[in-house]
Amino acid sequence: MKKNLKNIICTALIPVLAASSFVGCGGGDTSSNDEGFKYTGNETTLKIGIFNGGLGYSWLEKVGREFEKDFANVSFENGKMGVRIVPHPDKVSFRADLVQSAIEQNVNADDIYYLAIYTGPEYIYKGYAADITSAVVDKVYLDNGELADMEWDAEQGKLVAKAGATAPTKSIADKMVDTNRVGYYYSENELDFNKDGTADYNPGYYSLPFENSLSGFIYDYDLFSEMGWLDYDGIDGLPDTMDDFFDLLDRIVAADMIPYTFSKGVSNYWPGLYDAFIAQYEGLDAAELNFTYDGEYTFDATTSAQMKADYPDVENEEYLTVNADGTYTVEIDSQNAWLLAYQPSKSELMKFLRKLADPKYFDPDIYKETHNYTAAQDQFVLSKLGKNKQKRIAMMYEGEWWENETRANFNYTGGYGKREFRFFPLPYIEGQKDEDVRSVCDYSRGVDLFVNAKTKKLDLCKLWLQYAHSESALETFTMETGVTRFYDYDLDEEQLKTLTPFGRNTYKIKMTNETGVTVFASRAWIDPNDFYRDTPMGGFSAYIGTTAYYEWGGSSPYSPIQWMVEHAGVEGQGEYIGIDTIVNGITDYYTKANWEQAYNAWESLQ
Amino acid sequence: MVNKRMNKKNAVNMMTRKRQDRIFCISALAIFLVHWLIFWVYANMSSIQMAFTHYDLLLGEHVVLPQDKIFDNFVEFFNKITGSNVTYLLNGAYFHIISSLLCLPFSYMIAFIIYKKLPGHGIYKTMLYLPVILGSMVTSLLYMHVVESGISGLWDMYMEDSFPYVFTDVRYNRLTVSIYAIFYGLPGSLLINLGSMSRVPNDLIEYGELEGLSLFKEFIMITVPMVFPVLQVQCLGLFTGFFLNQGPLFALYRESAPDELQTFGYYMFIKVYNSESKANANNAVNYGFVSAANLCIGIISVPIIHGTKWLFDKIDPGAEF
Repeated sequence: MKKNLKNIICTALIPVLAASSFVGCGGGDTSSNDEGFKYTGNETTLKIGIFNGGLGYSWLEKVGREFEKDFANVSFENGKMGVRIVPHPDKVSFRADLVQSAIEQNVNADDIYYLAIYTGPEYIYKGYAADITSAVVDKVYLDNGELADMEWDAEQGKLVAKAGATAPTKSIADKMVDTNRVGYYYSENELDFNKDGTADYNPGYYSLPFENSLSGFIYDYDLFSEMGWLDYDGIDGLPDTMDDFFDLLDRIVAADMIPYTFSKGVSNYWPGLYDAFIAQYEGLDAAELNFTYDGEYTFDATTSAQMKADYPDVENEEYLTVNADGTYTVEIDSQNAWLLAYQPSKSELMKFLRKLADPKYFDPDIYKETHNYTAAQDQFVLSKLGKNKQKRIAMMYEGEWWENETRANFNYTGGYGKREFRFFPLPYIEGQKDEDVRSVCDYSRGVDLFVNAKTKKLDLCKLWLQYAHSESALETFTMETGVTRFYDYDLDEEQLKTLTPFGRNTYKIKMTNETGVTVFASRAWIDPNDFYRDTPMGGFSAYIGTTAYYEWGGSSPYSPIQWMVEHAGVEGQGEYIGIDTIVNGITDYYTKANWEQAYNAWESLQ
Repeated sequence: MVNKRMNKKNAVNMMTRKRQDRIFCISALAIFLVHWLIFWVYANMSSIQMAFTHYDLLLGEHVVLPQDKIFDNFVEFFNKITGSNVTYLLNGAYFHIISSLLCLPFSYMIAFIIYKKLPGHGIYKTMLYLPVILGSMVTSLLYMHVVESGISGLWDMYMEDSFPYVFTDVRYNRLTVSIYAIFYGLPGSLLINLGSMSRVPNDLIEYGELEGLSLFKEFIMITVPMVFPVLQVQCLGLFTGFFLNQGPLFALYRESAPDELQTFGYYMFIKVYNSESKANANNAVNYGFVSAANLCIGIISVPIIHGTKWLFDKIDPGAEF
């Protein structure tokens, strides 16, 4: 009897399990979506892989539902009608190597990917990313950014304007900011992988920017207001000079609070600060020399004298001109870019970080191994409660997505969106080129979306891209995530009210001039010099002189702040390293001899 | 006539059975053969080939080094191992000693306690099965939270000064990691050891009891000789393990273990590990160096392992059951 019962249960389970394995595939599933839209079970499915990090994927579900509704009566495949969007949210399986394997083996691969990685020429060369140029450059939007009145032309595999409808005037490319429009376009030369003078792939677009999030210090505006700390001369009453900035930190310490927290384990958010600092100090063009290695730079008299002291023959170099006032002007190229280590912004940045990494300013819990980025976010939000002797934390170094990521913790402190946080723009740096610039940085450069080159639904994928970059879809993205993408779109007052105060703050910083903050969007990932991209000596994703690992040794790729808090003189942690050692370390590493050796080794492999 | 037919039928049956046996053998071995071909032969060939390549970041593929630089990865390995990274080898030796000379003997004794159902065997079973069942990632998280939230929280409630950051504090981090290494290493191969001990004949044990053997003597004189082949296999890497021993560094620190604790095995692993926080870093650039390092370590290790085996064969009591 017992055996029979087991057999019956097993037999009954087989169809259940078999059926459940098809859930999500769309085939035969006639369920309804969360908005009551009824599927027929005969739709074409479009699998969209999305990195399930700080942004989540509720925006994708919302836009997807609209897409399904709008194209319910269009056939994209023979014998099928309509489309079903199947989001595939994940984190671990969207590591670069795993995505590549999935596409290569065509196992669990998605049609479109929204990832947290840079894809670049490698994905084109290996045949992972499809050519999406037509979707990017075809005019499909009206002036207001919405899709024009168009219909699907199955033969051409694209949208065409309906008879008598207003002609579209804009494309996705038109909506992109200049740096991305240029940076994401791959020219014939860039796609000439075998160096035979002709491109191996069609020049055009193979990926699009996805996230473009800001990173920097985020301060608790409510706390600052309550404590009367917004009495300086800068934006929103914040400190406007470095002296005032450190004065503020001292006042926070005096109030028995912790000035700032962050996760020491996550060093890759901090380049946002370094980039912003260098760009604010040097100016955009001079900052970008650090990865283009192509342009002119004039060193000030003090720096020029130091260069002469270190390299007595430097004035004989062809690329260097000695000006009447004793300054040097250098034509920077791949072979002499080591001289950029002498840019004064590098030592100024190190001095700022050395001062910032004072144990009295940062949260001592950063030394805990369990203090990862979510722990830092939790502690920042919950420190308001003051439980377990926890001191209040005034600021945190994080990215634009942090509030959405730690959303649940706000339930304990009054609810999500009830507290006000804002980005803290860099104060004026003594000696900076343009006195009026106050900046934060777009950190998540090179966070891409692309279409799987092996998809059998390329036309549908391109249609999705156009749909998902319409005005209303971009607005939905921002209202769901609180993050603003770097495309041309805007939210009206009513829509802005649905954002948290922090979401509104970042929106205004990125899309308007209201805040007086400049956003520096580095093109280091999307448009670099070959030597820069290929070798650690060249830069390898960091500006010359900003990566502690290479200049000062160590076995992990530290960013300077990480390295400095570990050498801040805290008992039991690494010994204190003074600023002179650090600054000298930059030019001791970036020597002419070291550079030539690295460059020659690299060149011999080309 | 009947006999002839019978013989013919028997012969056919025999042949059929032989064929079936052959098919069974081939089917049984095929999976392992394919597995071996892919994960041993192919993986090793690929690794050897990679030792002579560098990674082209633009093309995203490994390219064979030019002739005059063909041994660059090997040169880098010897420079590393003879240079400042010699402390990595010392740390490797330290963790290897913990696992081989401290944990291994104790793990046998614990298996013996459980096998003999001595007082407290239930606690040992629960305590030591946990790390075996849960896996290092869960155990390490548990350990970190017990230390950094539990012990630290209690300390802060009742003590004046605050609890030190024992995982990063140079004064305590080696001890903290060692405690975890011992806790995680004690179970050893508990299931295998228990399995081999349970096969020791009862007659022999009863004979020993009649002869008045104490438990300790039973362990040393009966159990250990009886399970010696298993012990021998576990000890083959006794003199080479320090090259690749990682300790529990990755489980506790992921890719940011303190320099003073890092081992060469950990260093090489981190070189090829693509973490989430380094999503954009392409560690394929290090595959050439790591392959060359592994090849060198393999070449150095083979004679040492054979020597170890020879040594153990010499002291093998040769007990059979």
